[in-house]
Amino acid sequence: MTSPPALVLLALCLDPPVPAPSATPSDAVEETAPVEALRYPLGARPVPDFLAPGDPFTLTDLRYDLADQDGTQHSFAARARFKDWGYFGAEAEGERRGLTLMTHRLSAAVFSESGTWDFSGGYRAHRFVLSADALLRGPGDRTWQLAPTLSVLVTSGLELSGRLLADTAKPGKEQRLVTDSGLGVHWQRGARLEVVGEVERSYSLIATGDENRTDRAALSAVAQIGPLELDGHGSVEDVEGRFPRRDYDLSVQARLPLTRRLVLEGGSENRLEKDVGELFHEYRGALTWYGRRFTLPRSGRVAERAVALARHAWETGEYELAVFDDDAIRAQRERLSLAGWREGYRDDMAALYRAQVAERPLPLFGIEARQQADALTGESVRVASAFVGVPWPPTLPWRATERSVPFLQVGYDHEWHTTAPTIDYRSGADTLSLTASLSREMDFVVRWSRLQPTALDVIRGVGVHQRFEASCVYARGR
Amino acid sequence: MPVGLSGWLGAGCAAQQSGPSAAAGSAADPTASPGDAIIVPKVNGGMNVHSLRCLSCSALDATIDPALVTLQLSAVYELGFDGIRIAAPFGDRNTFLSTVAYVRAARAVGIDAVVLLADFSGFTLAHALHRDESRGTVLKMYADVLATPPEPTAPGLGGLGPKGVGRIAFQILNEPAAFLGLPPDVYVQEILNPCFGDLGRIDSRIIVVSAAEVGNKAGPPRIRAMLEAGLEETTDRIAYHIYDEEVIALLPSHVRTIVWITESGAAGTPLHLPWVRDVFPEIRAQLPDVLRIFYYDLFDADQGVYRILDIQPAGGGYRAVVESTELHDYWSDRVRQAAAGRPIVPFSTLVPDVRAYFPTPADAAAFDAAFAEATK
Repeated sequence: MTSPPALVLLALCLDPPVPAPSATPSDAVEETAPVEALRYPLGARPVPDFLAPGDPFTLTDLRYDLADQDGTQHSFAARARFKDWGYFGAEAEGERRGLTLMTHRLSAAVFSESGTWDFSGGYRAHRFVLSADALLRGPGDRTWQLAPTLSVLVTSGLELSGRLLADTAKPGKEQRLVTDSGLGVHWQRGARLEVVGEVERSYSLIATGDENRTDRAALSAVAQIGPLELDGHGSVEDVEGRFPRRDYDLSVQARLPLTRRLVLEGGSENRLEKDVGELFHEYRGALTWYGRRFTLPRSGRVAERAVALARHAWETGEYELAVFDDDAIRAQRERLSLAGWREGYRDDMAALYRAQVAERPLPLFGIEARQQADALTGESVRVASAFVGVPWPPTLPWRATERSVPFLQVGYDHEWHTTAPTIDYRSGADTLSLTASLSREMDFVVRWSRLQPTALDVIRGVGVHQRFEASCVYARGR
Repeated sequence: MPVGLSGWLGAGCAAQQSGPSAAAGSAADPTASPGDAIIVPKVNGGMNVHSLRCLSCSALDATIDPALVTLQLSAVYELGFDGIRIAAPFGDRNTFLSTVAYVRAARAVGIDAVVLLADFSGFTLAHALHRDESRGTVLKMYADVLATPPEPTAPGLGGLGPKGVGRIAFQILNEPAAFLGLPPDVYVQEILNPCFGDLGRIDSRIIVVSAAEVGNKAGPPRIRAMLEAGLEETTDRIAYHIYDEEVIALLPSHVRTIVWITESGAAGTPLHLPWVRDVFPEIRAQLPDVLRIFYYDLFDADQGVYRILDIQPAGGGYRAVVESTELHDYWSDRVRQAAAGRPIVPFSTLVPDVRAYFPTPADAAAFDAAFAEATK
């Protein structure tokens, strides 16, 4: 590859230099309120020992959800670390029950629901991940859906992947075994640019038994451009079959800090059909005021540390891309804590955790408006939301300090639905929620909704209904 | 221009004894001699008719003015339409009962009746058709009251129903996403499919017509979603509405059943003739499955938009005043040419008193019983 385009491509694929973590204004912030100095309702939470083995089992996750609407449904999940071997989990939600396992290189899960069985497994090597899902259909149907995926990490920031979906039922007149296949590329240039591309071909049957062939190409990108975070997605979907069509999806989301504490968000999502025009749109705008400086996830110390940890892991034989949200970072830490080289990650993990705490968002007031319209159903929805947060230690929102942490958040949403547009049938929905964060690891959420019937609900005989939800989440080391 | 009871068409035909031969199958009696009056050749497709029962009465007034029924039906007959499409709302008792008169009289002169099972507003009928407990009761009432064929008013009417009368078709709801908030797949699976099954058991002679979707560019994706949800297997006729020429190319050119365009028209009186003369053939050319187009509409309350004629009080009765004269003349010429100079049997001869087709107390009782059952 000596041609100029190839050189440019090679240059782009090479890992950009990672600036060494250095004293910056955000360091100064971190130094004024280190992890150990912060107090949560449950007390101080020092930096966890991410490498600590289970003793022999140590509970790492506990989740309970309750939903009450025309009957009560409970769901429960728990996960524990067993010594240094791995994580074992159990989940139950209604009729769905399952077990999970994650070790350094292997992962496995099995779930069953109403006679169907869902198996998954994966092997994570240095340069590739081979994984597969297998679904055994319900009682009376012994056919399988098999979905193998192979991902290859070419450089620390470039991943290529391919996947297939095979159906042993061979549906349709074509008796096709492979019903879906796709190729993907995932490229990261540091924290500030991430691009994901995918091409896919799939075959599906419509109710008449005829086959649709769908070709889809999608490109997504997240970019941090100065103070602005831009998240864009575009795709083209070409359907061949008895009723051919071409659809385009385009969405753009942006976040821009207007001041250190005030953040403006906006976005749009559109689905268009060639020659027809718009099928769906959603427009959204939000303004959030934080009790302390807000840092976008790809622009601060967390971003630097996340890239550094992933780079280090790659260099020492692990298959890791950089991740930037709290849950993905936690999952990555858990994987790396099982590696043979885990002691080598201790400082990087701790530094990343300290950066996460230092850059913790403290939202205290926010408003949001959203509007969407679906041309297929004729339904349009407008949503207005607002929330107020109370920090810990409790104080008035404008008196939050660098030592404040999130505690309570009360939110309210109102939705205006218009269905059956010719007769302009209007209904609404109200949702009230309360979130209590007792530490970084433990949240309680309760939510109550009251929904007036849409036109479709009236036809189906559904009247005004209410829904109550509650959940409790514990996630060790989050 | 007066039409209908004034017998303008008969006079016109009488004055024109030569011209192209009648369209195949349109002349009523093949044994008729050139001087014998014939049943009007049905050469102009279908027409949307509103079940007008009085011009200024309240919704609670049960009056059905026979002059209004006669005026509209005579215009349909004498302008050579082979079918009417008319709504029979379950949520409006008086209008439902007036529709009975239109349907029976039209069928009695050999004109098909496509009865639109739809409410003008509200969800009474849609809810009743969705519920397993009420669907059969409601559909049986519709079938009992509207589907029984009348006796023909004359031999050789040319209708395709028993003894030459018009056939009956039930169209299950109207523009379901727009009027009822029903997504296309929900409409097919939860409303149309069970109705199709029930009607097949109740009376297999009833032609089941699926709901059309709106006739602008929002319609074709919904129709496609209905088709992909199995529309072709759950109906005898698929229906489209076309109010925008660009919609024609967006609709599927081939489906596995017959297609009826149950509404098509152009807003604005000057556009009426070009629409029927130029766009109707384009629809048939691009959509070969289309066998029938119902023009929208004969009469409504809005001047200068879609209607062909206005109806005005006159001398204790009513008179029809043609608004869309060019289109009216176009249809009249086609009938004249098809009649080949033979005189037309006037509507008043076939139906001297339309009250013979009015709903009976038993019809009203059947409606009331079904309504009570469906809404309890």
